[in-house]
Amino acid sequence: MNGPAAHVAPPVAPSPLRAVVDLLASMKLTIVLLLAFGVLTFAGTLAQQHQGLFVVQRDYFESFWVVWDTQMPLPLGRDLTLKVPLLGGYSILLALFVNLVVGGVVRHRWNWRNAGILVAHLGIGLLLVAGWVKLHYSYAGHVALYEGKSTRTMVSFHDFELALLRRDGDRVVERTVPATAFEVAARAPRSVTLDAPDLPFQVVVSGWLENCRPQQKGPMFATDMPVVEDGQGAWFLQSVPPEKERERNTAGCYVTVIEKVGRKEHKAVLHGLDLRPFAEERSPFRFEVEGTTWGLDLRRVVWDLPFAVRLDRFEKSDHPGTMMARDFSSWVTVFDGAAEGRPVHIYMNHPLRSHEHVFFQTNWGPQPGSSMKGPPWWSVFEVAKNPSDAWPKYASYVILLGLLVHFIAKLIRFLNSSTRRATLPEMS
Amino acid sequence: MRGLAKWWLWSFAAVLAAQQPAPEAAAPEVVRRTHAWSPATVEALATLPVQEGGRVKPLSAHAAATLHLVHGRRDMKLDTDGDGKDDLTLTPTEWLLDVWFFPEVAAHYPLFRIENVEVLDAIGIPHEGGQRFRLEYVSFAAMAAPGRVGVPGQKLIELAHQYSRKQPLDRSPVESHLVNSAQQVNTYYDLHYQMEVLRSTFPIEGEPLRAALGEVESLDFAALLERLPAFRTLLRENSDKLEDPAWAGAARLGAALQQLSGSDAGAALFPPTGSVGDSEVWLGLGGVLDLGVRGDIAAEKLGMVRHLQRAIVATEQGPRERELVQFRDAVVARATARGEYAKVELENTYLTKSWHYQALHWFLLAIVVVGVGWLAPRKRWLWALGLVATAIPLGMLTWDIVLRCLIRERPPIVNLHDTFLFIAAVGVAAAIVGEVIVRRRFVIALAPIFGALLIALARAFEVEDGKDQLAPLIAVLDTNYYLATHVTSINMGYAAGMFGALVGTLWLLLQAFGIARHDQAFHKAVVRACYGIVAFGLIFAVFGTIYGGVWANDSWGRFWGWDPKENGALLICIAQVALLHARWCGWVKDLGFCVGAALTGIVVAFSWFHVNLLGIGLHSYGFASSTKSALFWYYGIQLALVAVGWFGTVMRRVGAAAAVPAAVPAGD
Repeated sequence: MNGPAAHVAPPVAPSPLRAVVDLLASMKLTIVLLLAFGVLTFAGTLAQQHQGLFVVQRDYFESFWVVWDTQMPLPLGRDLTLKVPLLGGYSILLALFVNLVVGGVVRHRWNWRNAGILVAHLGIGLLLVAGWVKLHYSYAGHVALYEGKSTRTMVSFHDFELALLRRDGDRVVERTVPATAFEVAARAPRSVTLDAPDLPFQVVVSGWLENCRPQQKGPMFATDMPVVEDGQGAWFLQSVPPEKERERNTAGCYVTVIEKVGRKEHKAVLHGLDLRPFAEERSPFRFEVEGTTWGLDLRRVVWDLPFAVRLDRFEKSDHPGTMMARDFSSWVTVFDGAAEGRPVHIYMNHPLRSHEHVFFQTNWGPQPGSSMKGPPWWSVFEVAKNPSDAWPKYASYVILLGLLVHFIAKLIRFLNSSTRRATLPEMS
Repeated sequence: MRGLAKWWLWSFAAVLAAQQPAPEAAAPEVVRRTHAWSPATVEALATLPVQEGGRVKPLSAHAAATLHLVHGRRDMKLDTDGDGKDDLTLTPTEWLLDVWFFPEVAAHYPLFRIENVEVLDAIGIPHEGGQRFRLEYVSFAAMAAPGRVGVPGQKLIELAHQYSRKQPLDRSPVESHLVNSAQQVNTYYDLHYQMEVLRSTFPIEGEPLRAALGEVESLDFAALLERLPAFRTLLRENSDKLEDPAWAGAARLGAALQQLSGSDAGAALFPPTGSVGDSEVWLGLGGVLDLGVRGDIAAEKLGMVRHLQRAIVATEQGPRERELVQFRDAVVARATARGEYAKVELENTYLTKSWHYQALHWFLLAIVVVGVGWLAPRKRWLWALGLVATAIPLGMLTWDIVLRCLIRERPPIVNLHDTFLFIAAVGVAAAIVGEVIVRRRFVIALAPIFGALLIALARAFEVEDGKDQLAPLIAVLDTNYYLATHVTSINMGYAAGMFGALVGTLWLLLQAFGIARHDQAFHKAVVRACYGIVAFGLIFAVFGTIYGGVWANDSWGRFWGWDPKENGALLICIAQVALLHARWCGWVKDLGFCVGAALTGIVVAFSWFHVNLLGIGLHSYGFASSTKSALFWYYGIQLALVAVGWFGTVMRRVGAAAAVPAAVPAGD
């Protein structure tokens, strides 16, 4: 203690910015986020048993947070209900992306020794970006066509819209409102009024049901739901619990059209029930105002395609002696410029990619056991528009390359290391 | 090292125990079986091509899959002398021949496996004892005999119909058992009566009918087939007279033929006359009758029917077998001409040789050889012998997988059963490579155990699943490119995950029990091997998972759908990435890493099998509900081993830390 006093520099507190960057770059944060992601994935997987894929995807993996409602079995046959708050997939993946960019790429040592890790991190970053683009800029639906028929629209699986139709000569003019704009506000006992200055009427939407069955009211039973009479009888909507597979839901609502002049009312029950897969074959509620016939329809959202498609031929074959499909495929003609169109063969695992849209062969009809018999056959295509369609494929190659480079280099270093040689047992 | 040898013997015993058949509580029924099939006939009939489940296969394969389904075993054991012990074992082919040719005898075979007496109570079959979970084999005759609640088989079908309206996940174990048993009884019922029409005679009643078909009292099936064109002409020309009492016989025969025509169940035995391009669909007896009614039956097919019918009605075994072999030869000739026979012989050879089953025995031998090597750790030749002893069954297993690929013309994995064999092969091959690198004998020690356990599981799953494991694929899976890339890759990830869990668990137990505690280099080598395996697994798990998304993007229109199977694969990647990052940043050392690797085994098992049991998602091509209890056993055992290993290791370290100051002389 008698020696010269050592000069010890006082600890310098990192700046707040530096502290934040350090945190964001931290590998420990990576681990925490990965574990949170693991718990969320596990919870979301189990939750699908009761809630279905669509709801779980929305509530668990596309959200900022979620409460995992689960039951833990206890002795004596009792269950303990647990409500566990979890970070949602959106928050976790966003944080992981920032962590990856700051810690895994920017602050990582850029040298040959880390080349594999850097490449793998870049691939994962590309994958996360692809997922984000898909979430925000893609949509998917389906197209069903009989042989010889063509279309240039696709129909949503899940979402509904209220369509106001007016015939103008040979064409039908449409004006649509997505159901997402009013479905919450229009649930009983509330209602939503839709109006536009150029329309001679208002539309009041009420009694919105996410899933329902239209029923004809008979004299032998009562219902709490409003009953609307039309020329064919009295109708009401029977509420049905939402399906796990959301595309099986049939939305419904009551509408009252109120003429702006004279306040005359036209009432109707609307529902999205369609003879799937041909969602477009519908008969809307018709009413007349000031000499013009209008139509009002609650239907699955319809999108325009940038090209027309005609189904020329559909073929399917079964494994011999069974009703198990071995193969089914469609020959279509795509009209995207040239008058005669271009022929395309769409079959399993070989979709049509054109104008940022992808057509997948997904189904056909009539299916065995249904009341209808084929031929004629119809073919069903899932259609997706996704700007990041091919990015995951490239990401997978990049990640594989990075991991191979890193671990092979590590293996070679280990094989040549003195540590390994020192641990080899002596044998004779 | 001696400690390791002791541990070794226990492992060997555990693997042997897994091979023992389950105890059977009920004594089998005494069976009056007076006939026997000659080995030559059984061998010939094993390669009889039949069409079932969408493909042409040997009769031996059809018989084996059917026996798995209805009996839950690979063979049929019989007590023929009434001493309460089984004294005769039938192969699946022999059993099927018995059912077809001696149905009244086969009906008394102890066939349907009932594992819960509540099921017996529900269908009214009397039983002794009150143990709830007791294994009983019930014969078809017992199912058909009236009991206290009616005919048990009929009651079973009624109950199953009622419970099958429930979702599978909502059924109680007894209800699920009833539904499964009903499926077994239905399958057997079809088999039992498949040849009935060949035993029947058709009365020829009324003058007009006799004038047209010959002056006979009755005709057998083959003779009737010959005369069907005349019968059809008779009906067509006299359709207005069928109400006349003199034509009642013709009307009755017409109605009977209409009922039988086209109604086929079970395997189709008669190949079409033309080429595969003309028709791929083989026919059963109902289909042949349909051809006859349409006047379209060829002489060749008529000849096949005659041989089969003669074999059915023969009263002596010699003529019966002769006719049967002639029938088989005729079918083989036609199948060969159609180009459908080449794989039949190969598949029968595959089933007969059962290379993976042979590999199982060789793996057991390898366990012994490697164990002996532990007793003399400095002997290089013993180490090399252990490698060779493990490489031999690996070669057999690989050949088995190659044969499956050749038969199906597919990559190695197309269903859950394949995953066991493939993962066993990959795990053992990787272990051999790893052993050559580290040469510490523990990797090669685990390899044969890993191989043997997975093959045993594959065989148990095959019987449990009761399906044709070489069945053709559904349309969406019809892509050898993605099967070879995504599926193979993801299963290599599974293999590494499971083997890494095994090595991690080994390290924990070595530490906890202080085995080879003075050889720190050995313990370090185990951890390094564990690290290497996890890293190896990560490459394949990540690539396989992402490439699965690429496949989904081409077939279902989305890269990622949060489907349970996808989530399971993602969980493996997350677990391995988190573990490696925790190691790199120093958050976990050897103990934490090995605990993590051991727990990753649970994640892999969840992804590999458990997600299929959830009954949801698009990957619904591999469900086996009774696998659930096995999975929970694995989770429990793995968690217990990790807990014991972790606790033991920590306690040992605490003890060692406490001992150090005491060893230091006072005053230092």
